[in-house]
Amino acid sequence: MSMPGLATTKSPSVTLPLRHIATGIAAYLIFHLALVSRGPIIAAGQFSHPATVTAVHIGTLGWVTMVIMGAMYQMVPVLLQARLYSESLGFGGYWLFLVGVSSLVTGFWTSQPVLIVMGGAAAATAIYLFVFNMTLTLREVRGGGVHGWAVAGAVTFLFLTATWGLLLVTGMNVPLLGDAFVRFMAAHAIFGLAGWFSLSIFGVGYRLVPMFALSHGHPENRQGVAVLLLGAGAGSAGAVAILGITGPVAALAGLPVVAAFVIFALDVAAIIRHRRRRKMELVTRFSLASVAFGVFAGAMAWAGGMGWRPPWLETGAWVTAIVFTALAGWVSFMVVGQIFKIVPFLVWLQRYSDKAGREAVPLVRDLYDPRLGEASLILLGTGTVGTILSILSGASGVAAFTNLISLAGAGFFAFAMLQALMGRREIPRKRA
Amino acid sequence: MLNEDSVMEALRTVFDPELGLNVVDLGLIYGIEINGDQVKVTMTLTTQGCPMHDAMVSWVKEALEGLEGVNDSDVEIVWSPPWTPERMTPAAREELGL
Repeated sequence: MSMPGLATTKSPSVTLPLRHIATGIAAYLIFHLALVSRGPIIAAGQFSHPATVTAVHIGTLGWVTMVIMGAMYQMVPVLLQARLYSESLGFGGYWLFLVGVSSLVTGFWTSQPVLIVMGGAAAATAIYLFVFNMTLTLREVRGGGVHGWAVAGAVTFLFLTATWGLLLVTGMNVPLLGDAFVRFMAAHAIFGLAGWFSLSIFGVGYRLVPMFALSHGHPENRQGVAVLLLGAGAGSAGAVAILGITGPVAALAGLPVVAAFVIFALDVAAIIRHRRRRKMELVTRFSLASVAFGVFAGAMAWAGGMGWRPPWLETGAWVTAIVFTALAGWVSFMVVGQIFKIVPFLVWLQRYSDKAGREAVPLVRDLYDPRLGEASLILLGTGTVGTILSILSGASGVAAFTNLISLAGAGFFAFAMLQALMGRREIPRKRA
Repeated sequence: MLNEDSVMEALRTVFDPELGLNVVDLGLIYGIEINGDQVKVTMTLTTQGCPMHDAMVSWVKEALEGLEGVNDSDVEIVWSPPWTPERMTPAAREELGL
């Protein structure tokens, strides 16, 4: 079975992951709308500006975290052969997270401290419920291998990211952190991007990328090293950020992250070389683009950790370039690519699995128009690269145009998945 | 008449919803044993540790038990020898662009 990694009797009902992922896709559109609306401000590096903070949290929480949580509800039972501890907790946590994030980003956008604190507390509580649910699920696992360790590490860093976030929203209103506020913000970003997001991508990517590329015979002996280095590096880089250390020590602390990304890139390249499909599928091309962005973001972050930045850029713009490349490039491209496979498959499972073999049913790929996927890749790629260049060159005004291109790409992606979810493009095929 | 050919024909109705190819052309069927009205199929899946095997076993059993003369079926998923695309039929490989 070419998609064996996506369903099992230990999986929860497909409604749980689908609800999370569909909500995440809506948030992805809103993220791009926010970038279009305030593009030049964000690109200029005003990372404390309400528009920047809002866009970042719509992207990190509403889009990526929501999707990864949903994907993990489906993938963890499948990858690690462990029944999800509680589906009810998953559904309850979804609503709490949705309300919390909505309140938080509204608070950021309108500068209302009450909404920020309440939203942050609700979102963090929902995350703690997810961590609790996953921890008790992972307790069942025997011999989870590299995937198990990556998921466990990712969930740990999610806990740290949420906790640091809670400290930050509290510190915005009471004199809790003092001078440590910026250092804690840096650690919050590192735990989230390098820890929670990247470990999730490594853990799931090492299974899904070769599966979708029909790749066999590629080396797998470096995967554990990559996961270990990433976890250790995210932890040490976060610790160094909290302590406010820069220069060679910071570079050393971040080096494992860079090494992990290099190994992951080499492994993905090997997977692609060993693929049996001549034509590279959409998901594989999104994955390759993601890895390219990831290596670039990692290199920039490491240089930044050493205290280096392009002499023509202010620190704010340099930080924005790194975070934007990591979030809109590395993380988002991998997630978008995988969603092009996961959503149609889950919909197919829900709608057709009991009819397969008895009557004509469509294939998974028939559930959406593939031209929408191609258009989304071209537009998102062009727009994202364009925005990164606009930030790095200091021509932040160009971001107003490049973000529009990305928004169009996001729109094609969302419409394609809407087709799959709504069942508007069903082409029943004869039984094989 | 129940024989290996009729069983293979029945298995050709079970397909991979992602690849659009049936389990026979994919090269997933390793063996068929017929004992009276009982049929046993030994097969694999494209990725080791494939959890979709619950649904696959269900579909294969349904295809087998739809055959005249079959009252019981057994499906065993094995991982050795591991599946490779070389086990596919040439037509199937061509269709996938391998």
